[in-house]
Amino acid sequence: MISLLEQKLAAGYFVVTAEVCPPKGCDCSSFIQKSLDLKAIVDAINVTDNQGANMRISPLAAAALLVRAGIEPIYQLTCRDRNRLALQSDLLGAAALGITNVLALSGDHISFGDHATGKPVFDLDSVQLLQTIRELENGRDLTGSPLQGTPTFFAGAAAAPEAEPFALTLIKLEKKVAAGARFFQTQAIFVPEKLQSFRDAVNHFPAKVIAGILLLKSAAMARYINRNIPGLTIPAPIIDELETAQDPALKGVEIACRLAAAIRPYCDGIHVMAMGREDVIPTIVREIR
Amino acid sequence: MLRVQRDLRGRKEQVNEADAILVLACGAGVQSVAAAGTHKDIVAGLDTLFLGNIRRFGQFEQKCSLCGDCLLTDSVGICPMTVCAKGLLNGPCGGMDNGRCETDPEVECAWYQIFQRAQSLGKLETLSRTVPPKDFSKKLKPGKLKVEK
Repeated sequence: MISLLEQKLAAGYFVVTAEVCPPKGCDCSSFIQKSLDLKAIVDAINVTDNQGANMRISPLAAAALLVRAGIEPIYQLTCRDRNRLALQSDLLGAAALGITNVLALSGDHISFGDHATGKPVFDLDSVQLLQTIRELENGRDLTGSPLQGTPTFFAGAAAAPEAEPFALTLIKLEKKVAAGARFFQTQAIFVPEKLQSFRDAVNHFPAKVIAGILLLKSAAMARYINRNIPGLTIPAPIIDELETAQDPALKGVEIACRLAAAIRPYCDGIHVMAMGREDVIPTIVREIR
Repeated sequence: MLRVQRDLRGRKEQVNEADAILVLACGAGVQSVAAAGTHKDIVAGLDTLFLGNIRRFGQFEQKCSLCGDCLLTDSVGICPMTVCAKGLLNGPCGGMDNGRCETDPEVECAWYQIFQRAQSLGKLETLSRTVPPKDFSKKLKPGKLKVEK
């Protein structure tokens, strides 16, 4: 299987990806419908892996359902819940089911989620997971044993352009690229200048940058995110804008559109996290197409 | 373990009169008492948390996971296996911001600590080395060690 996302990025096409959260339960009809509604305007759909450490259907199963529906998924795979056997096993399963794009992540800590008393795994970290993907692509498992059938992936990693100190973040990003990351999907961007300096710092990497856009719905939601979502800080002026808006939801769309337009020069694509408001993604995409 | 046996033998009368033995040591201590052959109920009056370094009186911090595969020489003397909530070996996760850990904003990110120390030692380049997957076979339970003479 070939990753169309990879081909489009290689050709210099500005891509759009969106995040759709798989259900807690086995009825995937709404998940698939939401994804089908987006199919015409996005290039790939990120399938989150027990996002925020909240238990949901397996991202492998959900991503495979998207492949079956003719949609290209980006399969998010975290180290939080799987040891090295399970990670390799799931990656081989993904390849067999036609999944080509993988986003290799550490994973939010289990203490954030709905199963906070569970045992976190973290047998590998995201750099080692990328190395593992490359080993599989070389026809071997982590112990060097040969595989029957060699998978091909378009492997990516996460980046947090607004996290400080950036020099520390950059050390890990370099390792991710050396380990085989060929694209970055970034944490939500709220300060375009930070993405600009991030771009300057990573421009020499052979990796594409897909920048995150988070749709905010209210000042309360923004404050909740600042308190509870790891690695995300929404600046006070944006919260004020939402606070004083007559229609905060509409203001949120306006902010997302404004940010998308502002960051476009510094990235190879955008990644929209609509947090359940997938219906407004077309409005945001219109801003950059 | 031998000393526990000896101490309990030396207090045979008290042990015989007791309904149970309450142990206020650590989990290992409870099991030393349980294995001492008294046939008494054992009550563990504890929840042993970790091998703690003492910062100051009454303030303990876990610094070592007893993993059997020490990384400290290459991590400027701060253990990412233990001090990082996720035990990440190649740098901070996406939850680090302003040098703080995502699991507790009061806590400094382990990788921020390592970064600062490496910087002050002029050894930042040591952090650029990719650490391979860890050998957890050294940590299989139950651990045992017999030193040959």
